[in-house]
Amino acid sequence: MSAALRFAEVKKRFGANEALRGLTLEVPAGSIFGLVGPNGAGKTTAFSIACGFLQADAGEVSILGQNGFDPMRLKGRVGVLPQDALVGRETRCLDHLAHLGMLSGLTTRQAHREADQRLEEVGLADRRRARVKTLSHGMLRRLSVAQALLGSPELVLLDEPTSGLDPRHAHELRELFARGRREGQTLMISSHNLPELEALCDHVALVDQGRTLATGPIDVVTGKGETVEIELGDGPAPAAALAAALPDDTVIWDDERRLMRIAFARAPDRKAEDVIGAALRVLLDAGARIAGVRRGQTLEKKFLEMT
Amino acid sequence: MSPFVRDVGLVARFELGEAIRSRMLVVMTLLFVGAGALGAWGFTEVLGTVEENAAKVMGNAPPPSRGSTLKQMTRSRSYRDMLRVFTRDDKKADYFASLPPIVVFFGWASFTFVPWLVLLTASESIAGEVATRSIRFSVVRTGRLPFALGKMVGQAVVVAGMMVLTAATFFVVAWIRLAGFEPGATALGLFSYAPRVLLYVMPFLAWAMFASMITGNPQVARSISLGGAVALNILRGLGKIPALQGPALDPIWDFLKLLTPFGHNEGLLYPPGGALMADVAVCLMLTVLYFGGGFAMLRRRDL
Repeated sequence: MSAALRFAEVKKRFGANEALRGLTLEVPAGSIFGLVGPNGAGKTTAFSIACGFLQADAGEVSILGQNGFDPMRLKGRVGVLPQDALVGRETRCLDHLAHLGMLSGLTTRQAHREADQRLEEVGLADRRRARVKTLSHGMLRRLSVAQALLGSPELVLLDEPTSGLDPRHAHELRELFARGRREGQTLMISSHNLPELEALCDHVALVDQGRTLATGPIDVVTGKGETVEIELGDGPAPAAALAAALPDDTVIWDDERRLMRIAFARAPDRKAEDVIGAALRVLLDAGARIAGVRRGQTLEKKFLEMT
Repeated sequence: MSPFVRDVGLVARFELGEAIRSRMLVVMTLLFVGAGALGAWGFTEVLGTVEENAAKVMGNAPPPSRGSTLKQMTRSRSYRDMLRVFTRDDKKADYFASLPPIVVFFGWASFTFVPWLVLLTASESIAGEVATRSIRFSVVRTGRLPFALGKMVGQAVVVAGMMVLTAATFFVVAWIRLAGFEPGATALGLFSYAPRVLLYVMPFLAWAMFASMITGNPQVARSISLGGAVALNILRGLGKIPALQGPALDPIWDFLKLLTPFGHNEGLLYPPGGALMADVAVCLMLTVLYFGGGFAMLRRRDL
């Protein structure tokens, strides 16, 4: 799978603050890529460098096969939702989108059609003639998402796209992003809503203090293909029997949380489902009461563990 | 059409639209048209007084209405002598005497005040977008050069529109208030000055854009635009102080004069004098110089 966006040892400093200290990551084409990190980790700086808003001090950024961001050469191929960018208060939603659509290379007619369609998709069709100053915070966010999706760009970079949205609109946007991916778009999303990213993304990078802590397919980063967690109810906890039944794997019993963690070696003929089946048989035979089964760690847990 | 030119046009058009939507155009129209109407009205009052005084001195009856003796007065020797005192040049005085007085006043007032209005209103154009980060919506779709050029073209179109409106205001006020009004000569004079004023204003506009491109703070941009222009004007004025003149210093003052936008309106005000092309060249050069200097900063800076 080729990379739609690649950062190699990218560094950026703002005075005494070193925002990026050699960030390295690769966004595979056709994926939804989550960028995860605490506040000040460098996520927005990375987004801004990818879009050419900020100049990197060192390192290389490659975007859709081009070295660095050249808006004229990448015209219409990249959509961006910048964080905290304001739209002119007196501008009408449709005028704003149509203008940006034309700047993206669309004809006047195409731009107006696209603007209407995107407003419909983000639930703002009834506000197409409204001035921006009359929109709520959530509506402004959706308008900004709409501009990022104008012209169906190959690569869409979304910095906190669902921040401040109600659950319904956040869900609708996630559906929109998933549809974009199915249609061949690559999306890179930064968010603090980790369950949202976990549900949406197939690749992820955990960053902290300007460095990449972990990156790759989300199953690999969260250990979904390497660990299984089984939560037990009150009653027996046959850890020794389980360890004996799975001699090639590591079984750890967390008594406090009543959690049986099984770390297994990845192999083509042995998947997580096989391990779960074997473990459940042993546990049920030993009279254990199963309260829950989960593959790997949650993204949130992995994030807390690493940062 | 190349994408570059198209983008310049799109940004300029949106800039114009924003000026209309944000009511900035209304404010500018009020400024230009209001000041033009007030100036033209005041000037016609002065003309009326001059006519009355001239009639008194000549022992004639007062003119029946304002402007009724204007034609005779502008053809008189005393009017030319007065212009000679102001211009200190016979040929220049003859040239201005051949124009309706309201046209001469329009030319002088426009060359004097419009640059300051432009410095005041255009300096926030890009800095304002950097401050709100709305520039990010545009520069991800087009280059920074077509964006900045489009902004400047948009502002130039606004100024051009204002010049036409101001000229029309002068025309209407003169028509209403002067009995001896010459519509053909006045219209020709006013509308031939308007593009020349616009040309003179271009380096000032470029200076305002320079200020707008080197900072992301609109207030700082306005201060640089106005304060810098005042400083450039003072610098130019220093060369006129006799104590600071001399063979060693004169080339420095000449060079500084070339770098400031002020004073390059001699040929534009008085084309037969022969300085027209030189002034046009200097205005265009300074426009490119200031804009280029500002863009060199905008091109590299973080947005």
